[in-house]
Amino acid sequence: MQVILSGVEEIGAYAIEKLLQEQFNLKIVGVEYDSYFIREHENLKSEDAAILQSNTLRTISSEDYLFALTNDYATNLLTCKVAKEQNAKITVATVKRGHLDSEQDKKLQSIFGVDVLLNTASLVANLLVNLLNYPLAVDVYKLANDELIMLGFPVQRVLALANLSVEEIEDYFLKHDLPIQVSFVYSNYIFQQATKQIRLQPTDTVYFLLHEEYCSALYHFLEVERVEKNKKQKIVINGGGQIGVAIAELLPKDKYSISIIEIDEARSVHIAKKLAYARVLNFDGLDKEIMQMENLENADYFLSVTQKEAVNITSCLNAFGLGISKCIPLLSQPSFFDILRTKKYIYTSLSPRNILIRFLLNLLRKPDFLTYIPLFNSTLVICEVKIKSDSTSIGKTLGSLGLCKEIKTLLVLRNHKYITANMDLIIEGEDRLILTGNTLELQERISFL
Amino acid sequence: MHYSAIFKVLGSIIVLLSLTLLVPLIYALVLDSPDWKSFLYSFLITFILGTCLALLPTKYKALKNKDAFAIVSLSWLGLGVLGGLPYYLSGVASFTDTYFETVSGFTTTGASIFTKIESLSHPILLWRSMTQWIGGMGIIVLSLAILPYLDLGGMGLFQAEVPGPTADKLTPRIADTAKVLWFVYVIVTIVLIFILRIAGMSWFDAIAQAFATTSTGGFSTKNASISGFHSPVIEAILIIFMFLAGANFALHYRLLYRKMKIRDYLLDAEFRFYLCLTTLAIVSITLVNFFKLGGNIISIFRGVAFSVVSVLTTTGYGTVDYVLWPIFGQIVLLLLMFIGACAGSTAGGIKVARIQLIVQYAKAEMYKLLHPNLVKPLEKDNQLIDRNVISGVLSFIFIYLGVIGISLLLVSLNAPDLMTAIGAVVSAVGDVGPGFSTVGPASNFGHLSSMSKWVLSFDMVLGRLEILAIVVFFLPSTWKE
Repeated sequence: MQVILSGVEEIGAYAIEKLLQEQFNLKIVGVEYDSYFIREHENLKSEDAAILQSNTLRTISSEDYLFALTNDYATNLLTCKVAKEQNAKITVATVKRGHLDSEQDKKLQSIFGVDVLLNTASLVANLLVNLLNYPLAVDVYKLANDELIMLGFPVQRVLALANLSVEEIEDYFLKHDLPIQVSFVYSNYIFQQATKQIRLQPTDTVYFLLHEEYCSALYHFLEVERVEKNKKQKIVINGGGQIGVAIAELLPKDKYSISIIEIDEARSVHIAKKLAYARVLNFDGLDKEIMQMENLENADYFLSVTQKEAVNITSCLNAFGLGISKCIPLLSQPSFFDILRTKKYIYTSLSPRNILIRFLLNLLRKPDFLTYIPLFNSTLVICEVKIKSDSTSIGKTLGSLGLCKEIKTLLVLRNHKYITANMDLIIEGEDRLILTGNTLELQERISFL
Repeated sequence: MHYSAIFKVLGSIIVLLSLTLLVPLIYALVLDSPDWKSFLYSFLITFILGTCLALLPTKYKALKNKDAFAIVSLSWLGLGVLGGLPYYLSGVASFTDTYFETVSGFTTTGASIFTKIESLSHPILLWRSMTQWIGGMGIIVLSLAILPYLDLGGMGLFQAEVPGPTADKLTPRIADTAKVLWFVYVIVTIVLIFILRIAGMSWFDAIAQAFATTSTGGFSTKNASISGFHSPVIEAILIIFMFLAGANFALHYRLLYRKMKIRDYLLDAEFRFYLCLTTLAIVSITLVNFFKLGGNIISIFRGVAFSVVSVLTTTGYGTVDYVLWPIFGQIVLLLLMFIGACAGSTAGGIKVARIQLIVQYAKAEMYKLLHPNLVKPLEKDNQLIDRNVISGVLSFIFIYLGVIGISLLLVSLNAPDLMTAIGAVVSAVGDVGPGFSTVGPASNFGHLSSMSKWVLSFDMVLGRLEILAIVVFFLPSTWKE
């Protein structure tokens, strides 16, 4: 199986590394990129030709995946068409435009043989809107058809977590009969599986895996009020581009009062016409004085989603200085995450590339894994696996499945109920297991299930 | 400019006009009125002229905007002559007065030069009311229904003819829209005829008054206008129908054809504004008149309500002489003459829709002083208003006021007093009818100088075609190839 990628500049070096780490045969095709990727990644195959003229495109097999991620929508569609004519297994094309559910897009998908048409802006917006639903959470992942969520909370912001150990937390949940798991701890820039003996430090971020219905219970444990009733939250979005507009469109109007800052006048008029409910302001988001003049300093959230990283970081710094406590910049370089993670003026950050690679990896790992989420800068993943009705695991206990100790079963979904996993649990057909572990180990052991 | 195409279309319009002259001709023959000869000659002259023009060969299949404006301007200016033939040939008026009265009819202004209306023959009075009824929906709109048979495009004519800031196309095809508008118009007229008949008017008076009401024209068959009927019931009926005639006909169409409910009228922002404005004017004038003049408040209310609706809808009927009111009421009426009724109605004035847009624009500009960086597009009924529409409205108002200014200067050369001049000009440009002072509801325009009458005639056409169509026609660049 090969993964053919065009438009590598959109996905970035981090994503290339991630794909190689996941042991995919990766081939990049394109004429614009420099040889940086080839220099830095010895195992990477490449073809220095325009995608539509490349030999690679003509030699695709039925096991291969094609990701057409260039900036040019037409090129992506044509690339998918050629690949589909060669019987490529899955073709993915990205589009810059907003709406992907129009009749026209559906027709184009069928005409050009695009299996997945996706918009990075929509992915980012979806993630952010999910994040805003969970106060103080800096990370959110959704699994099992969005029934399960994994929320990351920085210890320095949640007093209730200070100095607690994982064991103490798990005992609390056990005592209150809550199927909430501590899945990971992000400490010293490393993700690690949560083990009982870990004691949380102020710079750590702890991740909880739970069903949506137990959210209130989790917040009760954290001693945080989830949402102030009847209060509309104010959000300022700096940057009226694709991502900014996608976020504004997705946010529920009855819960959020939205202001959008856009530096380009024509664009600001366009946004004002499109989003009648949003307050659109035409000025440079770095201008603190105008922000004060427009009473933006009393916002609950400040999101800076322009194309320029420096602007996003600086504007968040300014906004924090004005008194907005929750500032979220868009970062294209995932490596900035760790640097900025502990800064007070950064509440959390978003990376379109990180989000895109998560989506693509999730796609690549189907159907073996129902959900497959790699963690940032780590070989750890969290995934969902279904026990098929003809599986040899049926009737065996969880402890006897042959999973190595590095693979942890967090929860088991059975008949729409979530059960806390223990080694004596007998596996039944159609059970869904939520596992965490090293990516390589998981891929090796998946056959045991 | 495609002259052959222009004259061909004009010819068709003139032929249509000639056919309408058959109605008073037949009526005159039935009544054995001596005016039948005037109508016969008028018909023949108009028919022959129209036919000759309509048969002109032309190679042009589509009209350009310039052609459309030329047709509209020439027809409205020229039909004043042809439509006035019955008056002129029957000897009831001079050429100037004939032209004034005919233009006042076709433009649905309702300003009259006749002092003794009741002494005119019934056929003449019928034709007088018919000019308003025909003018009300626009001769051009009627012509759009037959344009497909002439194989000439009509889009440009539609833009030139339909009043209001944005033409409300009810159906995809212009000819169908024209037919639909006419149908609604005819239905309302027929219903009003029967109601007025039931209310006590004779058939003739009911038909004549219905023609003048639906068109918001205001030509009455009585010297004393509607007060000559001495009927509060008739006044109440006419208030309702004048008010309806001042509303956007698209709303009436939706009520009849698209299963809209009556309460949905209030969903339209322009209608709401129109209703509020009417109510506010009636209440405020009634109270001021009551406190200043005393008397029976019901009687005062009755007179004020009729006058306010008549002036706001630019109908021009009268039941009381508002010249005798305190200044406050007269000023309110003067302002209402400027505003006019809803876009898409047969009324004149600047139109409520434009006033609303300007008010919104002004509010947005004032808000910008506090929030200079805020980008807030204007909207009406949840639809965004393009900046071009705002520019168009501002230009329109500027030119409207400019026309009033220039006309005032010309009319004031011979006007007996200031309020006469102001009232006459504002009334003419707004197609209202009565003015103030010596051209008030109890008076007429007959005593004005010939020059003033020509200026006011031109103003009436300008106002009916919302200024720009005529102004564009007279621009030198229009005539350049």
